[in-house]
Amino acid sequence: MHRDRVAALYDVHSWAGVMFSVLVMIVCASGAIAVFGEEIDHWSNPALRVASDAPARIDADQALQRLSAAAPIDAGGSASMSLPHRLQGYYSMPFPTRHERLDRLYLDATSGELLPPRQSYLFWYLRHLHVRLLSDWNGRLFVGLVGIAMLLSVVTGLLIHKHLFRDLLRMRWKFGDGGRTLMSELHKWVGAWGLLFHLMIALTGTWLALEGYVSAAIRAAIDAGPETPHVAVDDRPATMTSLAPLLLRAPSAIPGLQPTYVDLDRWGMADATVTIAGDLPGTLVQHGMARVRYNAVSGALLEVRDARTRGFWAQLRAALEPLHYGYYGGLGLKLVYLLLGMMPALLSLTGALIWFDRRARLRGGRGSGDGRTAGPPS
Amino acid sequence: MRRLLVALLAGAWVATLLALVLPLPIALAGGRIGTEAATPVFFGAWLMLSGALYASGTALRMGVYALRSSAIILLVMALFAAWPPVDATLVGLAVGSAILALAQGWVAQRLLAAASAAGTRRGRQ
Repeated sequence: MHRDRVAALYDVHSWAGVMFSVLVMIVCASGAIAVFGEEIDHWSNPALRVASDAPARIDADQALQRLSAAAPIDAGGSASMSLPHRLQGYYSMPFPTRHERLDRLYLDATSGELLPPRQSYLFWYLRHLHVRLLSDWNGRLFVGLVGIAMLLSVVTGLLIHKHLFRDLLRMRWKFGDGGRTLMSELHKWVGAWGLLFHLMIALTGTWLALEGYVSAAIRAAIDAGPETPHVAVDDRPATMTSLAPLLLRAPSAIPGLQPTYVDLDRWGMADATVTIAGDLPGTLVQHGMARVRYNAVSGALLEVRDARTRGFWAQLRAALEPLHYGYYGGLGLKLVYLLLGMMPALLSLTGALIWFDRRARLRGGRGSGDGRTAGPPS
Repeated sequence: MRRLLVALLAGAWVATLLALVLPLPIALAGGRIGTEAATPVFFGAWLMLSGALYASGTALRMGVYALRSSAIILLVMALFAAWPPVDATLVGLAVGSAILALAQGWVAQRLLAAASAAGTRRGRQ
């Protein structure tokens, strides 16, 4: 590649890295730890640590009855009930409180007892730090900009890197020149090993962060699927069907579905519906995106939404979150995500140090008339 | 400017962990922490840690202090996770945090040793 072009790419690489280094550090460090969010939530809420592997003796109907006794659902109103899954051995239902905008009620799936309130939201702190830098005011926009800066850094880093394969297998712990060589070696070695992963994380993260700012028309085109069947409004009170049989039937509509929550709409009325949503473990489909909707009076199947049976763009959109957070695999994959996810934080530190050292050398070089340090590194 | 950026970067890493661990004793003792509680803890800790690291001297020293501080925080995290009653998830968290803490302690030690060897070489020359 022409030397001027390499120099220009090097400048883009450096400036994108240095300008956003602090934000990259925060977003990537919090994101890497947030991969273990469920475990951290389990750890920081001792009152909710009920055995998740014990058989659930309380079915969804009993749970709904007990939860709605504590937080009544208005006639014709909506509610959402989370089902026991993974580390959560309880049912839960949100309700507004004075202290929190939205708190939840928890019901032990084994004993059927109401559990004490949640003690902490430390997992949500990590998640909010990663997703919106703890700021409701355009936090996602800044995170999206971090993603674009990461993309620029990765792509330009790849283009200016001459010895990618050599650097995969070589790392020198040399400190002789005030740590310059060590920083440069670490930067290249870590960058080479994490290249594809960081490209994927930057791409998926940028889209997820900026999706809300993208035109509704583009989002609608991506999410385009079969028409949602219209349910005629009927305000007559009606008896609701049992949830338990619907939960048993749902996996026959979407093979592999593990229900995680139910949404109740127009509950108690003749036009009420039940949506059963859940996960498809081991697949690249976002949690909660697979859904089956039933008529809540007759139990008739109304709609099936399975991203795997939809168009390419919808499948790609459904894959973004599992790819970004690494929840499509097991513990080993989460560990890989933790390690590789920490790497951009290290790259921002080493990159910033290299940039400052190079500027210092350039200033010294100009002073002494030594022009050899001006070019980008080989 | 270089030292300030290193202080902000190192401070951000330690503050991220600190905001996770600092409110935890309240939850473990049966208290409640709201959704907004960690925000001032994170930003406050970040400011204070960055200031303290900046005042501590060279970039190397800042790096070593940050690695050691975060190793201590992770060890405290491991201790909290191993506090009975425990289950397999918590044991996993405790072991993982302890390994991460030891790895950071090792890197800090390695950096110090490499810097010290380089200093000795320069002295001999």
